[in-house]
Amino acid sequence: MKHTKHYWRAGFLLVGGLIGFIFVRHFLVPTSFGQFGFYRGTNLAEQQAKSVVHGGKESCSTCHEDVAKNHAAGSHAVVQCENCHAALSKHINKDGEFVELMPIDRSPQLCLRCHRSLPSRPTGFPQIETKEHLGLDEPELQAGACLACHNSHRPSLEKKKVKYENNG
Amino acid sequence: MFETINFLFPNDLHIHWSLMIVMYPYITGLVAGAFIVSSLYHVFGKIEFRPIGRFSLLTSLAFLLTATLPLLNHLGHPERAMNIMITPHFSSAMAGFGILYTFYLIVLTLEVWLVFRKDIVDYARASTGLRRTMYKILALGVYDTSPEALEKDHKVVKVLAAIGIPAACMLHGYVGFLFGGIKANPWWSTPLMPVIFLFSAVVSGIAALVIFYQIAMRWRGEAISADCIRGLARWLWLFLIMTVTLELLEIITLAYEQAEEWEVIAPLLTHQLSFSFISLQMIIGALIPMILLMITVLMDSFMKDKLRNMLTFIASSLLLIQVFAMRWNVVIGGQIFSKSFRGFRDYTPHFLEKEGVLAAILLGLLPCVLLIVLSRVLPPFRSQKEPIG
Repeated sequence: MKHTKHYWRAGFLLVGGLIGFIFVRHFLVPTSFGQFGFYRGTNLAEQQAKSVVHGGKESCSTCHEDVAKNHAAGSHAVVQCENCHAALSKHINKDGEFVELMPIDRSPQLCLRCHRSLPSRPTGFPQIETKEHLGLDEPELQAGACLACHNSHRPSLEKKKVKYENNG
Repeated sequence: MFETINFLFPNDLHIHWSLMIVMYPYITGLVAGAFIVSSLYHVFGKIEFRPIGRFSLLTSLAFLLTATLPLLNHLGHPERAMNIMITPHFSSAMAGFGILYTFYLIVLTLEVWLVFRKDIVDYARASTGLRRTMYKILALGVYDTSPEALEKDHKVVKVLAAIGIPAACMLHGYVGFLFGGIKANPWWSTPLMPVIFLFSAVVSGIAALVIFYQIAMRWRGEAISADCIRGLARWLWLFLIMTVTLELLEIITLAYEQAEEWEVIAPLLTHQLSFSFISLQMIIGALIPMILLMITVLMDSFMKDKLRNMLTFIASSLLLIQVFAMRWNVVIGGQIFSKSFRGFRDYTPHFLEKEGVLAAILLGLLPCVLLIVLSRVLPPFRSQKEPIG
Protein backbone atom coordinates (compact mmCIF):
# COMPACT_ATOMS: atom_id res chain seq x y z
CA MET A 1 0.00 0.00 0.00
CA LYS A 2 1.84 3.02 -1.25
CA HIS A 3 1.05 6.61 -0.34
CA THR A 4 -0.97 5.63 2.72
CA LYS A 5 1.47 6.68 5.42
CA HIS A 6 -0.62 9.67 6.46
CA TYR A 7 -3.73 7.48 6.74
CA TRP A 8 -1.90 5.13 9.06
CA ARG A 9 -0.85 8.05 11.23
CA ALA A 10 -4.36 9.51 11.29
CA GLY A 11 -5.76 6.06 12.08
CA PHE A 12 -3.21 5.64 14.84
CA LEU A 13 -4.27 9.02 16.28
CA LEU A 14 -7.94 8.04 16.17
CA VAL A 15 -7.32 4.67 17.78
CA GLY A 16 -5.07 6.39 20.32
CA GLY A 17 -7.86 8.87 21.02
CA LEU A 18 -10.33 6.02 21.50
CA ILE A 19 -7.99 4.17 23.85
CA GLY A 20 -7.34 7.45 25.68
CA PHE A 21 -11.08 7.97 26.04
CA ILE A 22 -11.59 4.46 27.42
CA PHE A 23 -8.64 4.98 29.77
CA VAL A 24 -9.88 8.38 31.01
CA ARG A 25 -13.43 7.08 31.23
CA HIS A 26 -12.23 4.30 33.48
CA PHE A 27 -11.07 6.92 35.99
CA LEU A 28 -13.95 9.32 35.50
CA VAL A 29 -16.75 6.82 36.03
CA PRO A 30 -16.98 6.19 39.77
CA THR A 31 -16.47 2.56 40.76
CA SER A 32 -19.84 2.41 42.50
CA PHE A 33 -21.63 3.62 39.36
CA GLY A 34 -24.43 1.20 38.48
CA GLN A 35 -24.33 -0.55 41.87
CA PHE A 36 -28.03 0.13 42.48
CA GLY A 37 -29.07 1.90 39.33
CA PHE A 38 -27.89 4.44 36.81
CA TYR A 39 -26.10 6.55 39.40
CA ARG A 40 -23.18 6.47 41.81
CA GLY A 41 -23.92 3.92 44.53
CA THR A 42 -21.90 5.70 47.22
CA ASN A 43 -24.02 8.77 46.70
CA LEU A 44 -26.73 7.25 48.90
CA ALA A 45 -24.36 6.97 51.87
CA GLU A 46 -23.15 10.53 51.24
CA GLN A 47 -26.69 11.86 51.30
CA GLN A 48 -27.41 9.93 54.49
CA ALA A 49 -24.29 11.29 56.16
CA LYS A 50 -25.29 14.90 55.57
CA SER A 51 -26.29 16.76 58.71
CA VAL A 52 -29.93 17.71 59.06
CA VAL A 53 -30.65 21.19 57.77
CA HIS A 54 -34.36 21.53 58.41
CA GLY A 55 -36.01 20.57 61.68
CA GLY A 56 -39.71 21.07 61.01
CA LYS A 57 -42.00 23.16 63.17
CA GLU A 58 -41.88 20.70 66.06
CA SER A 59 -38.23 21.53 66.64
CA CYS A 60 -39.08 25.25 66.76
CA SER A 61 -41.87 24.69 69.28
CA THR A 62 -39.47 23.19 71.83
CA CYS A 63 -38.21 26.72 72.57
CA HIS A 64 -40.89 28.97 71.05
CA GLU A 65 -43.94 27.34 72.52
CA ASP A 66 -45.95 30.58 72.74
CA VAL A 67 -45.46 31.41 69.06
CA ALA A 68 -46.12 27.80 68.05
CA LYS A 69 -49.43 27.79 69.95
CA ASN A 70 -50.56 31.01 68.35
CA HIS A 71 -49.40 29.77 64.92
CA ALA A 72 -51.18 26.44 65.31
CA ALA A 73 -54.50 28.16 65.97
CA GLY A 74 -54.49 30.24 62.76
CA SER A 75 -54.80 29.66 59.04
CA HIS A 76 -51.02 29.48 58.65
CA ALA A 77 -50.90 26.36 60.85
CA VAL A 78 -50.00 24.25 57.82
CA VAL A 79 -47.10 26.52 56.84
CA GLN A 80 -43.75 25.40 58.19
CA CYS A 81 -41.79 27.96 60.22
CA GLU A 82 -38.76 27.39 58.02
CA ASN A 83 -40.70 28.32 54.89
CA CYS A 84 -40.71 31.98 55.87
CA HIS A 85 -37.73 32.11 58.22
CA ALA A 86 -34.71 29.99 57.34
CA ALA A 87 -33.52 26.45 57.84
CA LEU A 88 -33.14 25.44 61.48
CA SER A 89 -29.41 24.81 61.02
CA LYS A 90 -28.88 28.52 60.41
CA HIS A 91 -30.19 29.20 63.93
CA ILE A 92 -29.27 26.07 65.92
CA ASN A 93 -26.51 23.63 65.00
CA LYS A 94 -26.78 19.84 65.13
CA ASP A 95 -25.56 19.79 68.73
CA GLY A 96 -28.40 22.07 69.79
CA GLU A 97 -26.16 25.13 70.17
CA PHE A 98 -27.21 28.62 69.23
CA VAL A 99 -25.62 29.82 65.95
CA GLU A 100 -27.26 33.14 65.16
CA LEU A 101 -30.62 34.86 65.35
CA MET A 102 -33.20 33.59 62.90
CA PRO A 103 -33.54 36.06 60.03
CA ILE A 104 -36.90 37.79 59.82
CA ASP A 105 -37.95 38.87 56.36
CA ARG A 106 -40.60 41.60 56.57
CA SER A 107 -40.76 42.28 52.84
CA PRO A 108 -44.20 42.13 51.21
CA GLN A 109 -42.63 39.95 48.50
CA LEU A 110 -42.34 37.13 51.04
CA CYS A 111 -46.10 37.24 51.69
CA LEU A 112 -46.83 37.67 47.98
CA ARG A 113 -44.84 34.57 47.16
CA CYS A 114 -47.95 32.68 48.20
CA HIS A 115 -50.60 35.40 48.09
CA ARG A 116 -49.85 37.14 44.80
CA SER A 117 -52.94 36.89 42.66
CA LEU A 118 -52.52 34.03 40.20
CA PRO A 119 -55.29 32.34 38.29
CA SER A 120 -53.71 28.97 39.00
CA ARG A 121 -54.34 29.29 42.74
CA PRO A 122 -57.44 27.68 44.22
CA THR A 123 -60.62 29.74 44.48
CA GLY A 124 -61.04 31.00 48.02
CA PHE A 125 -57.31 31.13 48.67
CA PRO A 126 -56.43 34.69 49.76
CA GLN A 127 -54.90 36.29 46.66
CA ILE A 128 -53.81 39.88 46.61
CA GLU A 129 -53.70 42.49 43.87
CA THR A 130 -51.62 45.02 45.75
CA LYS A 131 -53.10 47.92 43.76
CA GLU A 132 -56.61 46.99 44.89
CA HIS A 133 -55.64 45.87 48.38
CA LEU A 134 -53.27 48.67 49.37
CA GLY A 135 -53.56 51.20 46.55
CA LEU A 136 -49.92 50.68 45.59
CA ASP A 137 -48.12 48.61 43.00
CA GLU A 138 -45.84 45.86 44.25
CA PRO A 139 -42.51 47.67 43.77
CA GLU A 140 -43.83 50.68 45.72
CA LEU A 141 -44.55 48.68 48.86
CA GLN A 142 -42.36 49.26 51.90
CA ALA A 143 -41.04 46.48 54.13
CA GLY A 144 -43.64 45.59 56.72
CA ALA A 145 -46.54 46.79 54.56
CA CYS A 146 -48.46 43.53 55.13
CA LEU A 147 -47.47 43.25 58.77
CA ALA A 148 -49.03 46.60 59.58
CA CYS A 149 -52.40 44.84 59.68
CA HIS A 150 -51.68 41.11 59.63
CA ASN A 151 -49.80 38.99 62.08
CA SER A 152 -47.81 36.65 59.92
CA HIS A 153 -48.14 33.79 62.41
CA ARG A 154 -51.91 34.10 62.49
CA PRO A 155 -52.92 36.41 59.69
CA SER A 156 -56.72 36.34 59.65
CA LEU A 157 -58.19 39.69 60.73
CA GLU A 158 -61.50 38.07 61.65
CA LYS A 159 -59.81 36.45 64.60
CA LYS A 160 -58.56 39.80 65.79
CA LYS A 161 -60.59 39.46 68.95
CA VAL A 162 -58.19 36.80 70.05
CA LYS A 163 -55.51 38.52 71.97
CA TYR A 164 -52.06 37.79 70.82
CA GLU A 165 -48.83 39.50 71.36
CA ASN A 166 -47.54 41.88 68.80
CA ASN A 167 -46.27 39.74 65.97
CA GLY A 168 -45.44 36.92 68.35
CA MET B 1 -43.10 40.46 38.23
CA PHE B 2 -44.29 37.92 35.66
CA GLU B 3 -46.58 39.03 32.96
CA THR B 4 -49.11 36.25 32.98
CA ILE B 5 -52.44 35.86 31.27
CA ASN B 6 -55.27 33.55 32.24
CA PHE B 7 -54.68 30.15 33.80
CA LEU B 8 -51.16 28.96 34.51
CA PHE B 9 -49.94 26.08 36.57
CA PRO B 10 -47.40 27.16 39.18
CA ASN B 11 -44.69 25.19 37.34
CA ASP B 12 -45.48 27.05 34.10
CA LEU B 13 -44.13 30.29 35.50
CA HIS B 14 -40.45 29.76 34.82
CA ILE B 15 -38.96 29.55 31.34
CA HIS B 16 -36.31 26.86 31.75
CA TRP B 17 -34.97 26.75 28.21
CA SER B 18 -33.67 30.26 27.72
CA LEU B 19 -32.15 32.24 24.86
CA MET B 20 -29.14 29.90 25.03
CA ILE B 21 -31.34 26.99 23.94
CA VAL B 22 -32.40 29.14 21.00
CA MET B 23 -28.75 29.71 20.11
CA TYR B 24 -27.84 26.02 20.24
CA PRO B 25 -30.01 24.75 17.36
CA TYR B 26 -29.23 27.94 15.46
CA ILE B 27 -25.47 27.35 15.58
CA THR B 28 -25.81 23.60 15.00
CA GLY B 29 -28.03 24.36 12.03
CA LEU B 30 -25.34 26.52 10.50
CA VAL B 31 -22.93 23.60 10.91
CA ALA B 32 -25.19 21.22 9.02
CA GLY B 33 -26.13 23.78 6.37
CA ALA B 34 -22.56 24.78 5.59
CA PHE B 35 -21.58 21.13 5.37
CA ILE B 36 -24.36 20.34 2.91
CA VAL B 37 -23.05 23.12 0.63
CA SER B 38 -19.54 21.71 0.81
CA SER B 39 -20.94 18.29 -0.07
CA LEU B 40 -22.72 19.69 -3.10
CA TYR B 41 -19.23 20.36 -4.44
CA HIS B 42 -17.28 17.44 -3.02
CA VAL B 43 -19.86 14.67 -3.56
CA PHE B 44 -22.34 15.88 -6.12
CA GLY B 45 -19.81 17.64 -8.30
CA LYS B 46 -21.56 20.99 -8.37
CA ILE B 47 -18.56 22.72 -9.87
CA GLU B 48 -20.06 26.21 -9.36
CA PHE B 49 -19.45 25.81 -5.62
CA ARG B 50 -15.75 25.26 -6.07
CA PRO B 51 -14.85 28.76 -4.80
CA ILE B 52 -16.52 27.99 -1.45
CA GLY B 53 -15.96 24.21 -1.33
CA ARG B 54 -13.18 24.56 1.21
CA PHE B 55 -14.48 27.68 2.90
CA SER B 56 -17.82 25.99 3.67
CA LEU B 57 -15.97 23.14 5.37
CA LEU B 58 -14.08 25.58 7.59
CA THR B 59 -17.34 27.41 8.34
CA SER B 60 -18.91 24.13 9.38
CA LEU B 61 -15.92 23.31 11.59
CA ALA B 62 -15.82 26.77 13.23
CA PHE B 63 -19.50 26.58 14.13
CA LEU B 64 -19.25 22.95 15.24
CA LEU B 65 -16.42 23.74 17.64
CA THR B 66 -18.54 26.42 19.35
CA ALA B 67 -21.92 24.67 19.10
CA THR B 68 -21.83 23.33 22.64
CA LEU B 69 -20.95 26.64 24.32
CA PRO B 70 -24.55 27.90 24.65
CA LEU B 71 -25.42 24.63 26.37
CA LEU B 72 -22.45 24.88 28.71
CA ASN B 73 -23.44 28.44 29.58
CA HIS B 74 -26.99 27.28 30.19
CA LEU B 75 -26.01 24.41 32.47
CA GLY B 76 -25.88 25.25 36.13
CA HIS B 77 -22.97 22.81 36.45
CA PRO B 78 -21.05 22.89 33.16
CA GLU B 79 -18.35 20.67 34.68
CA ARG B 80 -20.90 17.83 34.61
CA ALA B 81 -21.24 18.11 30.83
CA MET B 82 -18.85 15.21 30.26
CA ASN B 83 -21.24 12.85 32.07
CA ILE B 84 -23.34 12.67 28.92
CA MET B 85 -20.24 11.44 27.08
CA ILE B 86 -18.98 8.91 29.61
CA THR B 87 -22.26 7.53 30.94
CA PRO B 88 -24.97 8.16 28.33
CA HIS B 89 -28.38 6.90 29.38
CA PHE B 90 -30.13 5.81 26.21
CA SER B 91 -33.61 6.27 27.56
CA SER B 92 -32.96 9.97 26.94
CA ALA B 93 -32.67 11.40 23.44
CA MET B 94 -29.96 13.71 24.76
CA ALA B 95 -27.69 10.70 25.23
CA GLY B 96 -27.38 10.59 21.46
CA PHE B 97 -25.55 13.89 21.54
CA GLY B 98 -22.14 12.56 22.60
CA ILE B 99 -22.08 9.93 19.87
CA LEU B 100 -23.49 12.06 17.07
CA TYR B 101 -21.39 15.11 17.89
CA THR B 102 -18.15 13.13 18.27
CA PHE B 103 -18.74 11.11 15.13
CA TYR B 104 -19.51 14.19 13.09
CA LEU B 105 -16.54 16.07 14.55
CA ILE B 106 -14.22 13.22 13.54
CA VAL B 107 -15.65 13.00 10.02
CA LEU B 108 -15.50 16.75 9.53
CA THR B 109 -11.99 17.13 10.95
CA LEU B 110 -10.72 14.30 8.75
CA GLU B 111 -12.35 15.84 5.71
CA VAL B 112 -10.93 19.30 6.45
CA TRP B 113 -7.53 17.74 7.03
CA LEU B 114 -7.52 15.82 3.75
CA VAL B 115 -8.92 18.72 1.71
CA PHE B 116 -6.22 21.03 3.05
CA ARG B 117 -3.43 18.45 3.31
CA LYS B 118 -1.56 19.56 0.22
CA ASP B 119 -1.64 23.18 1.42
CA ILE B 120 -0.55 22.13 4.90
CA VAL B 121 2.45 20.27 3.47
CA ASP B 122 3.30 23.22 1.19
CA TYR B 123 3.15 25.63 4.14
CA ALA B 124 5.25 23.28 6.23
CA ARG B 125 7.87 23.17 3.50
CA ALA B 126 7.85 26.92 2.92
CA SER B 127 7.82 28.17 6.50
CA THR B 128 10.30 28.14 9.35
CA GLY B 129 10.35 28.02 13.15
CA LEU B 130 7.13 27.65 15.11
CA ARG B 131 4.99 28.04 12.03
CA ARG B 132 6.78 25.13 10.42
CA THR B 133 6.33 23.01 13.53
CA MET B 134 2.61 23.80 13.61
CA TYR B 135 2.11 22.80 9.96
CA LYS B 136 4.34 19.77 10.42
CA ILE B 137 2.14 18.59 13.28
CA LEU B 138 -0.96 19.29 11.19
CA ALA B 139 0.55 17.24 8.35
CA LEU B 140 1.28 14.47 10.88
CA GLY B 141 4.83 14.58 9.65
CA VAL B 142 3.98 13.10 6.25
CA TYR B 143 4.97 15.25 3.29
CA ASP B 144 3.66 12.94 0.58
CA THR B 145 1.96 15.14 -2.02
CA SER B 146 2.54 12.89 -4.99
CA PRO B 147 -0.29 12.83 -7.54
CA GLU B 148 -1.15 9.29 -6.42
CA ALA B 149 -1.46 10.35 -2.78
CA LEU B 150 -3.57 13.38 -3.71
CA GLU B 151 -5.77 11.24 -5.91
CA LYS B 152 -6.30 8.89 -2.99
CA ASP B 153 -7.09 11.86 -0.73
CA HIS B 154 -9.59 13.06 -3.26
CA LYS B 155 -11.40 9.71 -3.24
CA VAL B 156 -11.40 9.50 0.56
CA VAL B 157 -12.75 13.06 0.81
CA LYS B 158 -15.63 12.01 -1.39
CA VAL B 159 -16.38 9.05 0.89
CA LEU B 160 -16.05 11.19 4.02
CA ALA B 161 -18.35 13.84 2.55
CA ALA B 162 -20.85 11.14 1.68
CA ILE B 163 -20.71 9.82 5.26
CA GLY B 164 -20.82 13.40 6.51
CA ILE B 165 -24.17 14.19 4.89
CA PRO B 166 -26.17 11.67 6.94
CA ALA B 167 -23.99 12.52 9.95
CA ALA B 168 -24.80 16.24 9.63
CA CYS B 169 -28.46 15.38 9.08
CA MET B 170 -28.43 13.15 12.15
CA LEU B 171 -26.72 15.79 14.28
CA HIS B 172 -29.25 18.43 13.44
CA GLY B 173 -32.19 16.09 13.04
CA TYR B 174 -31.45 14.94 16.57
CA VAL B 175 -31.84 18.53 17.81
CA GLY B 176 -35.24 18.65 16.13
CA PHE B 177 -36.04 15.25 17.58
CA LEU B 178 -35.40 16.56 21.11
CA PHE B 179 -38.33 18.91 20.59
CA GLY B 180 -40.42 16.69 18.33
CA GLY B 181 -40.25 13.88 20.87
CA ILE B 182 -41.80 15.82 23.76
CA LYS B 183 -45.32 14.43 23.72
CA ALA B 184 -46.67 16.73 26.41
CA ASN B 185 -46.09 19.79 24.27
CA PRO B 186 -48.38 20.04 21.24
CA TRP B 187 -46.32 22.86 19.71
CA TRP B 188 -43.25 20.60 19.64
CA SER B 189 -44.58 17.09 19.40
CA THR B 190 -44.57 16.28 15.69
CA PRO B 191 -42.46 13.91 13.61
CA LEU B 192 -42.06 16.80 11.18
CA MET B 193 -39.93 18.69 13.69
CA PRO B 194 -36.54 17.08 12.81
CA VAL B 195 -37.27 17.59 9.12
CA ILE B 196 -38.25 21.23 9.60
CA PHE B 197 -35.11 21.79 11.66
CA LEU B 198 -33.00 20.17 9.01
CA PHE B 199 -34.36 22.14 6.08
CA SER B 200 -34.20 25.44 7.93
CA ALA B 201 -30.65 24.50 8.94
CA VAL B 202 -29.69 24.16 5.29
CA VAL B 203 -31.33 27.52 4.58
CA SER B 204 -29.35 29.21 7.36
CA GLY B 205 -26.13 27.47 6.27
CA ILE B 206 -26.41 28.56 2.64
CA ALA B 207 -27.48 32.07 3.71
CA ALA B 208 -24.50 32.38 6.04
CA LEU B 209 -22.15 31.24 3.28
CA VAL B 210 -23.57 33.80 0.83
CA ILE B 211 -22.85 36.52 3.38
CA PHE B 212 -19.45 35.22 4.52
CA TYR B 213 -18.31 34.56 0.96
CA GLN B 214 -19.24 38.03 -0.25
CA ILE B 215 -17.62 39.70 2.76
CA ALA B 216 -14.49 37.56 2.38
CA MET B 217 -14.15 38.45 -1.31
CA ARG B 218 -14.63 42.15 -0.59
CA TRP B 219 -12.01 41.88 2.11
CA ARG B 220 -9.57 40.16 -0.23
CA GLY B 221 -10.44 42.53 -3.05
CA GLU B 222 -11.26 39.64 -5.37
CA ALA B 223 -14.17 39.15 -7.73
CA ILE B 224 -17.21 37.34 -6.42
CA SER B 225 -17.91 34.30 -8.57
CA ALA B 226 -21.20 34.92 -10.38
CA ASP B 227 -21.72 31.21 -10.95
CA CYS B 228 -21.26 30.49 -7.29
CA ILE B 229 -23.76 33.15 -6.18
CA ARG B 230 -26.16 32.05 -8.90
CA GLY B 231 -25.95 28.46 -7.69
CA LEU B 232 -26.27 29.41 -4.02
CA ALA B 233 -29.31 31.57 -4.78
CA ARG B 234 -30.96 28.69 -6.64
CA TRP B 235 -30.36 26.18 -3.85
CA LEU B 236 -31.31 28.73 -1.21
CA TRP B 237 -34.59 29.36 -2.98
CA LEU B 238 -35.32 25.65 -3.23
CA PHE B 239 -34.59 24.95 0.41
CA LEU B 240 -36.50 28.06 1.51
CA ILE B 241 -39.57 26.88 -0.39
CA MET B 242 -39.34 23.46 1.23
CA THR B 243 -38.74 24.92 4.69
CA VAL B 244 -41.66 27.33 4.54
CA THR B 245 -43.89 24.61 3.08
CA LEU B 246 -43.06 22.29 5.95
CA GLU B 247 -43.42 25.02 8.56
CA LEU B 248 -46.82 25.99 7.21
CA LEU B 249 -47.85 22.37 6.70
CA GLU B 250 -47.41 21.72 10.39
CA ILE B 251 -49.51 24.73 11.35
CA ILE B 252 -52.16 24.09 8.71
CA THR B 253 -52.51 20.51 9.98
CA LEU B 254 -52.98 21.78 13.53
CA ALA B 255 -55.46 24.41 12.36
CA TYR B 256 -57.43 21.96 10.22
CA GLU B 257 -57.59 19.27 12.88
CA GLN B 258 -58.95 21.82 15.36
CA ALA B 259 -57.95 19.56 18.22
CA GLU B 260 -57.84 20.93 21.74
CA GLU B 261 -54.29 22.24 21.38
CA TRP B 262 -55.33 24.63 18.62
CA GLU B 263 -57.15 26.63 21.31
CA VAL B 264 -53.78 27.65 22.70
CA ILE B 265 -51.64 27.54 19.56
CA ALA B 266 -53.86 29.93 17.58
CA PRO B 267 -53.58 32.76 20.14
CA LEU B 268 -49.90 31.87 20.65
CA LEU B 269 -49.17 32.55 16.99
CA THR B 270 -51.43 35.57 16.58
CA HIS B 271 -50.72 37.31 19.88
CA GLN B 272 -47.74 36.14 21.93
CA LEU B 273 -45.57 35.35 18.90
CA SER B 274 -47.23 37.73 16.46
CA PHE B 275 -44.01 39.71 15.89
CA SER B 276 -41.51 36.86 15.88
CA PHE B 277 -43.74 34.46 13.94
CA ILE B 278 -45.94 36.46 11.57
CA SER B 279 -43.72 39.50 11.02
CA LEU B 280 -40.23 37.97 11.26
CA GLN B 281 -40.52 34.29 10.43
CA MET B 282 -43.20 34.48 7.79
CA ILE B 283 -43.18 37.95 6.18
CA ILE B 284 -39.80 39.65 6.60
CA GLY B 285 -37.90 36.39 6.88
CA ALA B 286 -39.69 34.18 4.36
CA LEU B 287 -41.98 36.05 1.97
CA ILE B 288 -39.60 38.90 1.13
CA PRO B 289 -36.50 36.70 0.63
CA MET B 290 -38.62 34.29 -1.38
CA ILE B 291 -39.59 37.11 -3.75
CA LEU B 292 -36.01 38.41 -3.86
CA LEU B 293 -34.64 34.95 -4.63
CA MET B 294 -37.35 34.29 -7.17
CA ILE B 295 -36.35 37.48 -8.97
CA THR B 296 -32.68 36.48 -8.72
CA VAL B 297 -33.26 33.01 -10.12
CA LEU B 298 -35.93 33.62 -12.73
CA MET B 299 -34.62 36.93 -14.07
CA ASP B 300 -31.00 35.88 -13.96
CA SER B 301 -30.27 36.58 -17.61
CA PHE B 302 -31.33 40.22 -17.19
CA MET B 303 -29.29 40.71 -14.09
CA LYS B 304 -25.90 42.30 -13.57
CA ASP B 305 -23.55 40.60 -11.12
CA LYS B 306 -23.67 43.48 -8.68
CA LEU B 307 -27.47 43.40 -8.48
CA ARG B 308 -27.49 39.60 -8.08
CA ASN B 309 -24.94 39.83 -5.30
CA MET B 310 -26.92 42.52 -3.55
CA LEU B 311 -30.25 40.72 -3.82
CA THR B 312 -28.85 37.42 -2.54
CA PHE B 313 -27.00 39.24 0.24
CA ILE B 314 -30.19 40.97 1.40
CA ALA B 315 -32.23 37.76 1.06
CA SER B 316 -29.59 35.81 3.00
CA SER B 317 -29.46 38.38 5.79
CA LEU B 318 -33.24 38.19 6.12
CA LEU B 319 -33.10 34.41 6.05
CA LEU B 320 -30.62 34.32 8.91
CA ILE B 321 -33.17 36.35 10.86
CA GLN B 322 -35.94 33.99 9.69
CA VAL B 323 -34.17 30.90 10.94
CA PHE B 324 -33.31 32.56 14.24
CA ALA B 325 -36.96 33.62 14.61
CA MET B 326 -38.03 30.04 13.82
CA ARG B 327 -35.73 28.68 16.56
CA TRP B 328 -37.06 31.31 18.95
CA ASN B 329 -40.67 30.52 18.11
CA VAL B 330 -40.13 26.82 18.63
CA VAL B 331 -38.03 26.98 21.81
CA ILE B 332 -39.63 29.94 23.57
CA GLY B 333 -43.07 29.55 21.96
CA GLY B 334 -43.29 26.03 23.32
CA GLN B 335 -42.70 27.26 26.83
CA ILE B 336 -44.74 30.45 27.11
CA PHE B 337 -48.10 28.74 26.95
CA SER B 338 -49.38 26.86 29.95
CA LYS B 339 -49.77 23.11 29.79
CA SER B 340 -53.32 23.87 30.93
CA PHE B 341 -53.73 25.25 27.35
CA ARG B 342 -55.46 28.20 28.97
CA GLY B 343 -52.77 30.66 29.88
CA PHE B 344 -49.58 32.39 28.83
CA ARG B 345 -46.56 33.94 30.35
CA ASP B 346 -43.95 36.21 28.85
CA TYR B 347 -40.22 35.85 28.30
CA THR B 348 -37.83 38.68 27.57
CA PRO B 349 -34.12 38.00 28.05
CA HIS B 350 -32.20 40.77 29.76
CA PHE B 351 -29.18 42.26 28.11
CA LEU B 352 -26.56 41.48 30.72
CA GLU B 353 -27.82 38.33 32.45
CA LYS B 354 -25.86 35.06 32.26
CA GLU B 355 -28.07 33.73 29.49
CA GLY B 356 -28.98 37.15 28.14
CA VAL B 357 -28.70 39.06 24.89
CA LEU B 358 -25.02 39.99 25.26
CA ALA B 359 -24.06 36.37 25.94
CA ALA B 360 -26.01 35.34 22.82
CA ILE B 361 -24.32 38.00 20.67
CA LEU B 362 -20.89 36.94 21.92
CA LEU B 363 -21.68 33.28 21.26
CA GLY B 364 -22.83 34.22 17.77
CA LEU B 365 -19.66 36.21 17.08
CA LEU B 366 -17.28 33.63 18.51
CA PRO B 367 -17.61 31.11 15.63
CA CYS B 368 -17.12 34.01 13.18
CA VAL B 369 -13.88 34.97 14.93
CA LEU B 370 -12.87 31.32 14.98
CA LEU B 371 -13.60 31.12 11.26
CA ILE B 372 -11.27 34.06 10.64
CA VAL B 373 -8.56 32.36 12.72
CA LEU B 374 -9.07 29.05 10.89
CA SER B 375 -8.95 30.87 7.56
CA ARG B 376 -5.59 32.35 8.56
CA VAL B 377 -4.16 28.95 9.43
CA LEU B 378 -5.71 27.16 6.46
CA PRO B 379 -6.47 29.78 3.78
CA PRO B 380 -9.56 28.39 2.04
CA PHE B 381 -9.62 30.61 -1.03
CA ARG B 382 -7.35 29.65 -3.87
CA SER B 383 -6.16 32.03 -6.48
CA GLN B 384 -8.80 32.13 -9.18
CA LYS B 385 -6.25 31.27 -11.86
CA GLU B 386 -5.47 27.90 -10.32
CA PRO B 387 -6.73 24.90 -12.32
CA ILE B 388 -9.82 23.08 -11.13
CA GLY B 389 -9.11 20.09 -8.93
